[in-house]
Amino acid sequence: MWPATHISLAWLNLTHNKRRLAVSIAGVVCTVLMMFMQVGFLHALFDGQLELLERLDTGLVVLSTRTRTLTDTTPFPQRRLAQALAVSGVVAVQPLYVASATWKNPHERRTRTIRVLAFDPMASVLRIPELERSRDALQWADTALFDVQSKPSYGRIAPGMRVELARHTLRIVGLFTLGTDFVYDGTVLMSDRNFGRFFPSRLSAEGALRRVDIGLLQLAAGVDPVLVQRAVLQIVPADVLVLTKAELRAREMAYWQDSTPIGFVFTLGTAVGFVIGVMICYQILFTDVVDHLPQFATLKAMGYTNRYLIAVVLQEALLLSGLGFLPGLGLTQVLYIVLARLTGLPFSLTVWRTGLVLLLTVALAMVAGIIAVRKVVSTDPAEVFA
Amino acid sequence: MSDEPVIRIRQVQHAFGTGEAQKQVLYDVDLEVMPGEIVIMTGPSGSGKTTLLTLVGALRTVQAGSLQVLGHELAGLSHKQLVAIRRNIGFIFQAHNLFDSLTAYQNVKMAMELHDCDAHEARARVTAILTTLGLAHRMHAKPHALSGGQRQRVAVARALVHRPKLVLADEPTAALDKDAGREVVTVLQQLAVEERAAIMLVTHDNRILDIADRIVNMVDGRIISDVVVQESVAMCAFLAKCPVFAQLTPTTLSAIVDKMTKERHTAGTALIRQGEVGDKFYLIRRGQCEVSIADGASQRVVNTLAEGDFFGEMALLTGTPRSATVVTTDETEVYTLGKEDFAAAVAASASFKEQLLKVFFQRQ
Repeated sequence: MWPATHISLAWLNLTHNKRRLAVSIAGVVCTVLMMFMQVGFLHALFDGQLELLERLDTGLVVLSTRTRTLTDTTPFPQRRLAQALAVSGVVAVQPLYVASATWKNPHERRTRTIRVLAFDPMASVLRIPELERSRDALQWADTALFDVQSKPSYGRIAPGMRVELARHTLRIVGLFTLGTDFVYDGTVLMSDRNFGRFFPSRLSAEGALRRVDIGLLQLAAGVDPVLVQRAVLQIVPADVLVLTKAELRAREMAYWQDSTPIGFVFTLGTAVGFVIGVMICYQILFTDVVDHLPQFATLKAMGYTNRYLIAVVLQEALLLSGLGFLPGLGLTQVLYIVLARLTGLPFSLTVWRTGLVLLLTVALAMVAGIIAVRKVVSTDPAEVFA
Repeated sequence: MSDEPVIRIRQVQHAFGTGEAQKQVLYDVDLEVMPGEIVIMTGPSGSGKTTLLTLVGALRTVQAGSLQVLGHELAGLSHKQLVAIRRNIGFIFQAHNLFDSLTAYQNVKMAMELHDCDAHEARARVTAILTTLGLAHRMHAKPHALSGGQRQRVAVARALVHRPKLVLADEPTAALDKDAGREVVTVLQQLAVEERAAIMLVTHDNRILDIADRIVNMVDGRIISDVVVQESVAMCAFLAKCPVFAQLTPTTLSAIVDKMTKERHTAGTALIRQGEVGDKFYLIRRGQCEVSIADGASQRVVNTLAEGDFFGEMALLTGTPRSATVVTTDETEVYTLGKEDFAAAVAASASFKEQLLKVFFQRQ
């Protein structure tokens, strides 16, 4: 039972007093949880905004330059898609039509606004698994699929029910899962042909849908979307944007960051969590440093350098952050599942978010350690003799 | 025994604070400590002895004067260089300052980690020193499980495990009972003897004064006495053996010894000459002298003096010129007492003069 050659003073100091250690870890766990909750909510809310985007079965997306977000589109001429189809690498183009319409709750007779998404039901436009069984049914007149994640105020909807949409009777032929966002509390899917019937104002004089809300450019396998994007932009007029999915994602995020306080609120929340974490860790480390001041001064008198003592305190900080982070991560997983069930928001613990919170946790412990260590550096070993 | 001193202090001054609030705490301090010497520093609190100790320990920057420790001049060294010097010194504090989180073994090991030493050797040394200090069975206990004496012994082990050639201790026994204190000083003594380490000890604990080779007394930032204990004891014994001083108390004797100055002379040196005015009293510490009286043109040797003998007192007492010439016949060490101090010593004892007169009478 010989101790290791090199004594880990940091570890032994930190773990010596078990009760203090438990309290310290609990403090860090709280900090970690607080930051995970803020980051979780922030992304859960934003992820909801990106759900439709993620379902688009496409390499490039065409939008009107006046469209600022997918939840509020301005239609652009369908010809732009035909023009884009001429570019090599583009194998198919698909129009997606979006409208909002009045929906009457079949049970309560109350009306609400619902989003209508329309496209060619036989084409691959949205990656929605439930679509496969209903492609034929959607080709019939006045049929639609209903999003089961729509808010309950739309009523309990089952396949076969007849409901009222935009003052027309609509038959629900199936259900699917998409989710809500800040603008729309519910969604129905229908064919482009039915869309023309429900929204005649979108038809041209010839009775065709000439203006598209979201255009999809489906690309040949293995081509670089960026190269195709460049080629398309050279031939289409400047009234449309051609975006990769990543660009669109960034654009949507930027829109919601700018137009809602969500980004600010939860970023601030994370920052507050960080600051509280610094204070908790500082308190823990400072207490430890002060308790060991005569010992640290003795080490200095023995010839230990300030650098060694700083390393000890920072190691303690690092260990503390690690010891707090792991249980915090475990608890977060549980809480995310609970919160996702309660709110219907997609809470997901991605590697990136885990990494972010880990980085913040280590950073806050380091900041606390650096503040606390000043006391050690300023300790005069001559004082021990006094 | 012809080593360089471990500590050589020359004209060291030290002050705390600056400007108006500046307070000088050390004045013109000179001190040398040789290998194997145990020096006890005494003096009232605030006398500057702890400041001196921290200066020697490279824990403070030398402000004025020269301070050589283990062959390095500390004046003008950078902080980094001072830190490097500290590694060769063993420090023992009044408080043990052990890490609660480390076992006795680990606490001692901390001192070894600063030295390039292979793991096996380091382990062996830590184990050996703890065993020497009677802690073999408590090696893996943490400080809270140890008694006060055991803790202080662990601190001593930590200070000594790297075999420093200089140990600085501040009240190392203050927190200990008599037996525990004795254990600690015994170990220090062994180190001084076996490793020829110099030990500088600040203490008010008079139970441990007996281990001192020298006792340095400081008052108000100055060294007011620096007594080589054995020498002082030997000198007192010499003085006390003489009928003249027999009546004096040890305190008075040692006060006289304190005032005496040591002189070394080669063979053939005339210490006093017949007919000169007397200015000093002499006591021979080592060596031999011949006493001769002018007999016409030639010198007649009347007596031979050796260790413990004294002379030169008559001229001081009677005010007459020297009655004989004393020449060393060997390498000789003498202690001398100046005229005024001699007169003061005589005045201290009424019987002293009578005794001396009796001695003179017998000599004639």
